Amino acid sequence: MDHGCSSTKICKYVAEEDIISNLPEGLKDKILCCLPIKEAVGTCLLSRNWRYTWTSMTELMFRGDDFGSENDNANDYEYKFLKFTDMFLSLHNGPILKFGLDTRGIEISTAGHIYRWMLILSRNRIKELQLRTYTHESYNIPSCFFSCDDLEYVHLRDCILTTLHLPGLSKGFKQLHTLHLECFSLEGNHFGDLVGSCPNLEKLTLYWLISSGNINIHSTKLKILSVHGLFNHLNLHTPNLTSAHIKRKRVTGDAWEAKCNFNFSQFIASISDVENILLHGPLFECAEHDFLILKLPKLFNRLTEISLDLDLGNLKEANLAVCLFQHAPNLQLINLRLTSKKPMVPTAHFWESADRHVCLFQNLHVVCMINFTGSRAELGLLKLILEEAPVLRKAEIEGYGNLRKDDLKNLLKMRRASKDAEIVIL
Amino acid sequence: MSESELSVIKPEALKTYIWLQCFDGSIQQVEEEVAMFCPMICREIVKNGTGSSKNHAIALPERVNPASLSLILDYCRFHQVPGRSNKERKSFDEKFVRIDTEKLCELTSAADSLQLKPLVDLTSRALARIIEGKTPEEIRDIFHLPDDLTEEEKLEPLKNINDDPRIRLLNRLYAKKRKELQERQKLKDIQVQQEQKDERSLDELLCFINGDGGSGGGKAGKSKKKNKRRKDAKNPPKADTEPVNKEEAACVGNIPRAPCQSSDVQDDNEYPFEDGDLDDGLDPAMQEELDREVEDFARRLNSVWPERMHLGQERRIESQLIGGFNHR
Repeated sequence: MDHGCSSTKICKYVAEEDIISNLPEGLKDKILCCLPIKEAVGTCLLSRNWRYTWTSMTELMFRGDDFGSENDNANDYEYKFLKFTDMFLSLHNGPILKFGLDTRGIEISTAGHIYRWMLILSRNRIKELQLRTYTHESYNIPSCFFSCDDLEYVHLRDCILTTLHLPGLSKGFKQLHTLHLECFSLEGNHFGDLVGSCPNLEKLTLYWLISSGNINIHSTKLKILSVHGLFNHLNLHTPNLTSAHIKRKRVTGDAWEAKCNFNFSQFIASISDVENILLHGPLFECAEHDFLILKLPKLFNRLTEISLDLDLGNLKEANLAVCLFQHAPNLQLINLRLTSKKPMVPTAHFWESADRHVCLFQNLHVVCMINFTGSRAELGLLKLILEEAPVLRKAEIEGYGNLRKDDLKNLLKMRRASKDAEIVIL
Repeated sequence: MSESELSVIKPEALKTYIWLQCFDGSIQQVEEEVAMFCPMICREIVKNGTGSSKNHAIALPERVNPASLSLILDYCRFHQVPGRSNKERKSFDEKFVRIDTEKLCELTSAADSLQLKPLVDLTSRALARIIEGKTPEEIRDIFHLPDDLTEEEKLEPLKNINDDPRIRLLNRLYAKKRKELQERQKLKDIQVQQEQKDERSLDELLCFINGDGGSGGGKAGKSKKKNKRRKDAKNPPKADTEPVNKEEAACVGNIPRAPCQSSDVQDDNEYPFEDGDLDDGLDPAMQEELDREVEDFARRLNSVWPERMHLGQERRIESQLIGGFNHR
């Protein structure tokens, strides 16, 4: 590749001019940031010019995978990683705009390191923080985290967010647009205050959250919301969402058996511009029975995908589902995870008598039903869809156990509005 | 340009051209839509109205030489066509950066001065890929970097966070040499009090410089059993009182911890290097090679250091992190 060098090797120290060290600082920084961190530090051995170039790198990514070798045991691995990161940060000089940590494969056993690093970062105008830590015990998010005023993107994992003393400490994150918290527990009732103090927050994703307190999320700028985990009290006022994923896990145990306190109906009614809805888990029980049917004024014109956990044998849920479908003329994908708690079946003509608006299922391309048991309610809905969806391409049925042959036959015989509709039985 | 591209862009007769002038004076004309892909040129056209004729050509920044300019224009010409798939673009990019390294550096510099961010990202990544995985000698070779670090600078224990076994060994040898010279100094020096004070400050200095552990990588692979013992309070004995077979240990390991310990840190203890540890995990062939290098280096040290002892009187501490003893 390097044709120029070979011919001039003889007069190497005379005529050759350094081709890279004269690049502007920003470019050298960019090049170093593209290297794995150990190699970036290794450039200090190149020449005088490069001795301290690595100390002003602005984007740092420490990957646990880079630090071990096959001979190491877990302790060594962890030790090397922590030592390197500590030394690096203590020698580093200059702003750190991005800091990433991925400790998959190592278990950092003390929160002390994280505290220390967070403190250094808070002094360095950090903008993007990704701590993908995989720890034994969750660490408490340190208070210095809240003084990182320039944060725009945050990804934290295996942590505890104690909101009890939030109001005092936090001025909020004025620039924050993405907050992602994973495998974390939320203590206290002030999470809403934190969200409220982030006026530019557009994406909030909470995965594997555990919270027994109130989660009040009020935001007009929020576009993507995902709340997944164990929670009891959820209050959402986010009218401008484009994507709403709420998933409540089912867990037995006193604290969680209690009915969830969630302003379901109000929430659904308010997100009229939503494009994507996912509602899994015991959530429908929070809905008032007639609310949606009577009071849903607007159409969900932009809703194209919906995924629901439904018990079609439950009249309230069945009604809710139909209501949602009727108000979503542009729906393209329906994904239903069916449950059947009680064998209560709606009246025989429930589905036939369902109000068939002109726009019902007009744009539906794909429908998936998982845990299909072949009950009358489920068959009824499927029949309705097949009859009413003119552009349906695929109906995927995943059976729960073995479907009875008669049911299958009936299914395949059903009249289809769309010639291309394909029924796939898994 | 291919037929399909021509059909997408306006017919030749209707195209407007922009005039660009390089720092060396050469002027060239380019189709307007191609030039506009460059933010800096775009700004010049819109704000200052330059570029419409040969006399009012847009003056390009100094870092853009004609060769880089033609490459940049090729890049712009390809990417400004909207109909291309991501796959096509990626494939073009990959081929685009397969050029001579020197040209690649010039191209990066030129793209940066024209603020063409996608191209800057592409070329920087390509340069990083060239650097990745190579030894310092190879990298110096490719980029014509001068090999101007002194041996000591290369071996600064402070910088040894890459855990290179070669550096580890040389560090140890260095430390050993330092220790020997210290002892020789002590024999010469009459005033014992002053001696002790100097010793302490030397140790403190080394400790401060080495942070909380000097060659951090050096210990990790070594004695795994030692890692488990994490006690902080140990205050190992001083350099000159150590028994002879722990000589390498001296300067790095046996320093009082108090001056260099930071409050929050849950530190791992400093364990002195031991002779037995020299064979940690290095295979025989490499061991031989390292032995030879070490011998060679030792010879060099022996010839150079006696001179240094005389010359080093005035040198400031900061300039010689390892040779701290010279500051007397």
